[in-house]
Amino acid sequence: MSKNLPAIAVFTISGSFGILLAMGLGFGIFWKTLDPTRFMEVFGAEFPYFILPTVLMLLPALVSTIVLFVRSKGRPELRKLWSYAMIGMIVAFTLTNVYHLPVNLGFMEMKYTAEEAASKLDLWLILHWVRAAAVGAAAFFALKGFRHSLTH
Amino acid sequence: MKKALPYISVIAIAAFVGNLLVIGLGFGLYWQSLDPVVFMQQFAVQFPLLLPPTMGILLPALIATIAMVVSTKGQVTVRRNWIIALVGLLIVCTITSVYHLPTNFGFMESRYTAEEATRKLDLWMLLHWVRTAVTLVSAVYALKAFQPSTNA
Repeated sequence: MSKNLPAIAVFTISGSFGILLAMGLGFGIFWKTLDPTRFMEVFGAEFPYFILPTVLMLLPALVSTIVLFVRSKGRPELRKLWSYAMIGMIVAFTLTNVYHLPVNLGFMEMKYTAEEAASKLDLWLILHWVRAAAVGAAAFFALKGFRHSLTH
Repeated sequence: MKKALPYISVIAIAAFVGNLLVIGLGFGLYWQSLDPVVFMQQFAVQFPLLLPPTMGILLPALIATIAMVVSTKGQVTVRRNWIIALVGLLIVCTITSVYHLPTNFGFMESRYTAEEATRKLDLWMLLHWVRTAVTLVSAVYALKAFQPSTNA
């Protein structure tokens, strides 16, 4: 198997992990320090800047792991590694689409009361660290998959 | 722990590329769209938030890569690849320390005239893309070194 696609998977999954760390460690912690109404104003101004780099990394990461999973049919050990990486990316993608995206729009439109915004931001951050952990695990399994692709 | 080092190095260097993309593609393009005086005010608010993830990713990348250079003594090809990865990271640290950090302080203190700020931001962005490209090269060489390092 060519090592190019496994390498792309490793780089884009790890790059997505870096973006999620930038979001959580930098901005997430700051957003928590703000009054909820002020937070929604700041979120509306800052969040759009994460969209382009996130899409540029996350989409190739998801597509490459799915392709590698499909292509590794008949190689059970390799397939297991790519399936773990793919599951990590699918978990992150699902959480983002089901919880983060609709809530982001709510924050940006200042749709919530102060109490609602505070509780939704708490859950936003918990689920953010869940998706960051899922992508970190996916990066680890993608590296193992990369190594396995070269040695077997 | 020794087995974890090549994983930490590759994932952290590639994650650092993701972090740099957030700074460049997300915030950098936005900063360039602003009036220079407003940009310096925005920079003072936003830049400190990018520091914790930047240091939180760069330090493990640097430490793990240095450890891999040290621990692969006697393995000529592998060590050469780890050295190239490390030199890339050191170039990034040098560019950041020599140009970005002092200029960041100038922006945060609104020390420059509008013309100076525009010129300095243009060079800031140019050198930002240089450090992003160099980090990507580091990631490629770390990945080249990864497989033989994990076999040893």
